[in-house]
Amino acid sequence: MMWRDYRKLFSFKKIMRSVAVLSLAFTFVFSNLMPFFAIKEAQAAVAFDAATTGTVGGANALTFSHTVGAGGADRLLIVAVSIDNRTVQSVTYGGVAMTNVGTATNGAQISSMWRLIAPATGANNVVVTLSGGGTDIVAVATSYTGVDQTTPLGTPVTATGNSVTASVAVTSATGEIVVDSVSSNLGTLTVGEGQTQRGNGVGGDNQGGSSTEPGATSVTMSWTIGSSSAWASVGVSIKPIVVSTTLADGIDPGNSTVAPSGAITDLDAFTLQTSAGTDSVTGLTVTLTGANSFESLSDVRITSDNGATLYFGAVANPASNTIVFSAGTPIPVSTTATQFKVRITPKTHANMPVPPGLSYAVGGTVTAFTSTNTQAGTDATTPATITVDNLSPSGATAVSGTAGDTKNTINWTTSSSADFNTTSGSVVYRWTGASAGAEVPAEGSTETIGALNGTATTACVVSSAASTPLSKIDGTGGSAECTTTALTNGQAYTYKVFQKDTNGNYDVGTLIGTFTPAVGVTITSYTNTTETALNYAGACTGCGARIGGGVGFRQSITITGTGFGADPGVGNYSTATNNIKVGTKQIASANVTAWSATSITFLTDTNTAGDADTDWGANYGGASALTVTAGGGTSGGLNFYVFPQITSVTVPVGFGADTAREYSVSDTDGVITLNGTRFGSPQGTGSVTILGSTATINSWATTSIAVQIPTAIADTTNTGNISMTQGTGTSGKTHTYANTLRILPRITGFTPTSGAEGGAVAVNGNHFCQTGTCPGAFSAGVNDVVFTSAVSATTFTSWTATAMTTAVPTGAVTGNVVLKSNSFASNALSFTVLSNTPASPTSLGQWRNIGLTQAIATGGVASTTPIYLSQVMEVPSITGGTLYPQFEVDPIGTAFTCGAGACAQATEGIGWAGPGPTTGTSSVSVADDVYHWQARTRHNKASVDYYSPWVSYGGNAENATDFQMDTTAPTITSVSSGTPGTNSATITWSTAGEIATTRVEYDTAGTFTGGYDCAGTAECTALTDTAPLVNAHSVSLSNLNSGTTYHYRVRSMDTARNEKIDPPTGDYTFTTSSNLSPSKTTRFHIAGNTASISGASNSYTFSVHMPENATTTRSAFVELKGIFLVGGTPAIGMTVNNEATSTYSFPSGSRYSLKILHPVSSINIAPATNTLIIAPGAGNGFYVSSADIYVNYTYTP
Amino acid sequence: MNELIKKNKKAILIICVGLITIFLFVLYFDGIREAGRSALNIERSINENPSPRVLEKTTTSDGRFVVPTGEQIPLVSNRKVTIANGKTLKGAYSVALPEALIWSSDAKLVYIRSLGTVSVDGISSGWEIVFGSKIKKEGYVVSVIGGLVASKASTASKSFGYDLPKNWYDSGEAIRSISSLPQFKDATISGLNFYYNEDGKKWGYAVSSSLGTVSVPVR
Repeated sequence: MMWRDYRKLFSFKKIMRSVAVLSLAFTFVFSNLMPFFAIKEAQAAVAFDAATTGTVGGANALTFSHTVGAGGADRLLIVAVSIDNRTVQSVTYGGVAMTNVGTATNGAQISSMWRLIAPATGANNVVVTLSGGGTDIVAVATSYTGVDQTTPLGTPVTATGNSVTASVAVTSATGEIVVDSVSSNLGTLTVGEGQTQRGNGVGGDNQGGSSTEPGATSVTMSWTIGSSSAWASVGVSIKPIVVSTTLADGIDPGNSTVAPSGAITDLDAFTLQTSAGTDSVTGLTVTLTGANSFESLSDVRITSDNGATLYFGAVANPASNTIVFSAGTPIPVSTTATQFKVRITPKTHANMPVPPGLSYAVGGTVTAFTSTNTQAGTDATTPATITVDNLSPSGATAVSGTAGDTKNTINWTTSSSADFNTTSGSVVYRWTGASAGAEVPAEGSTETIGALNGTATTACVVSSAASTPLSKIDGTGGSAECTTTALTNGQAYTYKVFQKDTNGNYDVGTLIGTFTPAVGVTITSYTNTTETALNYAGACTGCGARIGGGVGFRQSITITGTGFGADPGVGNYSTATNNIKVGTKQIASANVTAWSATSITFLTDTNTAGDADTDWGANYGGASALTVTAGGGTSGGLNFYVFPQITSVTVPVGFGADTAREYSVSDTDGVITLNGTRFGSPQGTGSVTILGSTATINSWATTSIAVQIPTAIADTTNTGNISMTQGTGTSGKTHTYANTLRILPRITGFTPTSGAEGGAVAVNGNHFCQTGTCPGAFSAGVNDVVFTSAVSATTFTSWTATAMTTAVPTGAVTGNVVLKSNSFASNALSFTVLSNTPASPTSLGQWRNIGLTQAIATGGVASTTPIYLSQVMEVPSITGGTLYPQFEVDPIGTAFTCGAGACAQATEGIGWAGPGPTTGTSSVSVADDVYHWQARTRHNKASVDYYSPWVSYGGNAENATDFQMDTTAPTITSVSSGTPGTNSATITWSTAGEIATTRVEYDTAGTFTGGYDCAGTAECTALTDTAPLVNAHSVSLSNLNSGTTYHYRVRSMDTARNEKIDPPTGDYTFTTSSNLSPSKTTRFHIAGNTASISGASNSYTFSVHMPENATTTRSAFVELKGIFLVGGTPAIGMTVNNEATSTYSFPSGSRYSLKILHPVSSINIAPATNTLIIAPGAGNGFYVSSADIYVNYTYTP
Repeated sequence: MNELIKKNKKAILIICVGLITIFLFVLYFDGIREAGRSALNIERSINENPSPRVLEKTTTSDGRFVVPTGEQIPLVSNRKVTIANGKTLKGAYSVALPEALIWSSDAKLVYIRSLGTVSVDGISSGWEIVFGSKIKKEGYVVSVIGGLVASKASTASKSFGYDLPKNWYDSGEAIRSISSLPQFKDATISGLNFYYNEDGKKWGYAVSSSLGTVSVPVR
């Protein structure tokens, strides 16, 4: 190594720099660290107050007065007692017992020390009392001030010996005072060097003393005795009172955020206060919280509360979170709590760590301090947080850009950070070239548009809200807040956008990209040469085109602009590099008809493959929708809306073009379909208006809308437009159909709904006046109303837009009616034409009475004339006419003579108002004969007769009898009563020539004053008519009384209910034969329907009640009927009234019925009874169905 | 027989393969028309000779009513229908117009109506072209059948014709304007008129379709 090398090595600068470093190190160590090593308790010195010595010889108590000074505080009284051969019992001062500190005993020689904290000031007696007998006592009382009242003494030390010097070594300290007590029994006590004798006395032969010496680490208290002697000594150090300085939390500032370069800010507040006196804080440590908080601070200082006074020196650019203050002005402390501040100053943006920075949560408290007094207390553990915001905001997003002609368009979305600076928060740097430079905006700076920063130019400084999409033009036509100086076409420019927060922090920037302006594709305008109303104009909303199929509906659009380049050639107009777009829809190449550098013409022909309506999808153009891509660039967009187009209208089959009727649910005449393009779907807010009225939509698709012709269209308005507004997904554009729609007449009904020929009828409907003026007369084929059967109405009553009133023409039949107005035909609506011809009569009836309650059955006979014929008449739905019943009655064998027209032979009843149904009647007087008849109805309407067909009664043939007229009663002849018996008679008569009923009335009174069936005649007996009706009549009368005369008459009624009574007045008579003892046979029932009789006999008791009195029984027998059962002995035994039993045997075999007639000899007449006993054979049984007794007897009537 | 089959086994196999191939070809290209593969029925020609109508009178509104004539032709089909010796509506008009002008120098068109089948190209074998003349105060019906004037006759008419739009598109364009719309995918046409809408004072085509009468305005 050469000298110059050493010289280099030990150059003056280096040496000085080393010295400086060492100096700084020592300075740091001694100024910052030593104070901590030097910390000790701050103590006031103990001060001696007064001393008094008392002695006594041969006593057991010593009393002497000691005066404690009044001016001192923190007092302590020490009494040193020297005795021998005794012990100290107690020591009091002013009557207050003192505490023994220590006692040293050397045989008989005793030294004892006592203390009293805070003794009363003034003169008080010290009383030393010994235990035991008296002795020599020396006591020295010393008082002190400034003594620690809590621990006034150190550790007492005792020592004893037999020597010429007494000593005791006491551990003490500066500021303390060591006091001792010594006792010896010989010599003279002489206080040691450095000690201050506070008392020395002799009591008898006892030597005692006390001294003090300022405290030190170790203090030996000694006395020279003068000769070797036994001694005892006690020493103790008196401790001074302790004084402290207390640290406490102040009123801390609130949390806040400060920006780099911000002003000095309060971080923490603390207070200092001494417990006594004043103090001086000569050192202080602040500990910051928050990771690396110190990096954000340029200055930390301790000031007075108001910041006016700086203590210590400000610590600049702290190197750690522990900041030590020492040198400089110390903090004065007094017994008054005083607040001080820790204050911080953020670094400037420039001195802050480079982006992305951090956010520093700075907290800080005083964690240590240096003072004379003892340090006590703490600062707050949860201080305020001062945030030094050096955190970059989040960067811009969604960056993009496009090149233009001497300009670039740049897009971005601003930072989403909450503290994004809404003023000048976005700064765009532009670098000329294909890459961005390293320049960034200076932290905390506010950029200026157009300013240079190295190679970067501030292109834009934009104020906006956070998270806001922005699009700005840099260059020609530049946006506000951006440069407007034209950029150089062909020159690449690179852009980066920076985001700034409210504390001036920038992010690192987001690269937008590189864009090269060029003489680009620009659309300046376009014209719709097909529909010029849709030409482009600035910010237009009514511009664009309709799309449609073929030359009839497509539209031609010519775009003008620049940069379109050379004609790409047929077939190349719809490529990635050359195309025309409306929104996302790229026009098919085949629809592009011309292309030059400044003009392009294309068609909107949906018949071209790729450009059909379906190919447009949901695209309906819109703002900036039209773009041209050519030469590698894409133009900006011009507003271009795709309008709807109604290209055709479908009307119902059979309708003329562009015609329809108002809607009706009954047919489809009122539903038309609009065909076209770009209607939008679904309907949404779309609508269709027809002749000014909103139409109800049946279905809606983007090329097809089925609508109902509104019924709200005025009936006098027959022609008008169809227009529609686009539906969902569109801009609500409209179109009006090119042609005019005609609303044809529609018949909706008739008033009345049906009618007969000649009847007034109003044809109701709408749009009946197609020319706008209603016809004043019929004109065949032009203005007319035609009924079915091609019968035109001829009665012209009135004609309005909604009703044509006419009359049902003659010859019209039920069927469709069509109205024509100006040759435009209505719909066909059926009208019911009613007939004036009455319906065939029904319910034909023939009656005996006018009330029509006594019907004559078919073929029946009437006995009185006239009879009454009836029919039910009706001419359906026809009013205003009269219905007349007509009848033709002819005898059987005479043919009906009436035909279809009027008939003089017909009998006619009174008329009834139509239309019926109603019953018409007529009386008919005929001679006795048999008849048939027919009926019809005559309808007279407007003096015209309409006849129903003839209907024969009951549908009977002409040779069948409908009714018979018979008005003559039958003739009665040959009435005879024959030869009456004793109890009976037979009456006979004849109605020859006519069958009739048979009836006899008879009684014994001979009066037939009543009417038919003996009514009103008490004795009369009437026999009901016999059937069938006969010519020869015979009636048997029985139960007559014998020998009695009876009156009678006969009656016969023919089928016509003509009755003959014979005799007409009076009566016939006959008399029965007389018989005094007539014989009778009477049967009495005994038993019947018995259960099976078998085994034992069965007994039946019965009575015989004769119907006559005084009877004589002539004979009697029992008739037994039953069923015989198989088995056993086939025999039955019978007896009555215990007469001899008769046994009746039967053949063996199957069961069979039996009948036994058992003669009885004697019968008891009631009230006496009889007994029948029946005994079946052994093992046999039978059922009795009946057992009767027959009695033949005679009596006198 | 078995011996014969054995001897001609190879020939039989070839014949069978050939027949199967032909069957599959026919099935594939002609079996499913809608598949769009019809190779055997690409085109069908209609040869018809409709008769002219005798009109006692005509009105303008008659032109609105399309009388179905000829066959019903699908608007969208893979099988093209051609009309032998047919003409488009404008083509027939150009044939009839000289005759009308001979009839009356001020002859103007009242309406044109198809008389035969109308193809989707708007071609029909027959057209009825009705003119009117204010001078003659009557109408004139020229029937063009097979591309030639088949008949011409005066008729009563209160319509004396109307001016035609310039460059009016032909019947084929009118049909294509509706055939391109999806709602007419399955529709057929059976007649076509060129009519004058007196209400709107505009000409238009009226197409008789299976969906109804479709009016297509002419601008």
